Amino acid sequence: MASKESKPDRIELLQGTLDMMILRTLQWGPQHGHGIGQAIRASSLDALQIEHGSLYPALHRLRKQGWIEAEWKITENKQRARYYRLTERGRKQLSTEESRWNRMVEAIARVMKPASSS
Amino acid sequence: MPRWNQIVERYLPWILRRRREERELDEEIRFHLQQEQNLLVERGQGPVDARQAAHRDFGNVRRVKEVTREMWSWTTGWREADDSNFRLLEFACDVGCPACTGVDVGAGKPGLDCVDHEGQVVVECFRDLLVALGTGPADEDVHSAMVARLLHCMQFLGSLALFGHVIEHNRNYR
Repeated sequence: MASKESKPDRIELLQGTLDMMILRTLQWGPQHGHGIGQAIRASSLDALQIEHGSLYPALHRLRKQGWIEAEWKITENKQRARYYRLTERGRKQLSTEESRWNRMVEAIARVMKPASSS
Repeated sequence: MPRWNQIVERYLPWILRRRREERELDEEIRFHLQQEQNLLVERGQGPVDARQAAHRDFGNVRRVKEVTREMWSWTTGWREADDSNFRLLEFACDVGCPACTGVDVGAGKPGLDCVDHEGQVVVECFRDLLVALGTGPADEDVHSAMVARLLHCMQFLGSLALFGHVIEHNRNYR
């Protein structure tokens, strides 16, 4: 991954959105921390500025809340890695977070473009 | 003042659990950095540059570990347990705790997964090993591994007994 210095157009992540993006990424199946980081980076077309280390406190927090579970597995390259997967509670939480996010985006859009909403 | 065996019963699961979590977090971060480095090398970077870039992108490893530890629900209790008895027990655990050795004595013996046995962890492992050795494992390598692990158990239990003596001594002294 290129350094942050070489990507001045990257966007700082909004507080609280990392958890939602992790849950969203895990919706497609179990993944290890590095894979989650790669998936977020790829789906944002490399636009989001995420320090990969920040994934781990978030993953452990989500696990503590019971929204994800962790399991050690062997990767395709025969390495041991901790894979995370979404729990049923995590799915519900993701749904809640997505609704909240959509409401927030709509509200901000109304503020930024008041004429188009009338 | 609680007796030493009560202290062991209270703190030992925390010590073993924390050590396992610490070990797994180290392994997880190491894996992440290695994966990132491999990816960058595949994209044409030199190994040294790739390693530096992987670390730079990850952020401060020590800080990440500190913040991650904050997420473990039992760290509050861990801090509250910051007394001399606890430190002594931790010291005792440094002397050959079988749960920390990582010795694999073969599949098909879930009772040997010491770490998940709270409180009675070492005693149960010790007992299981004795039973397994008594029935005679077929494979010589497995037998050697079991004996090695048994010695670790004995060393650990011995250090716990020593720990008990120190606690008793402290109690009498006060």
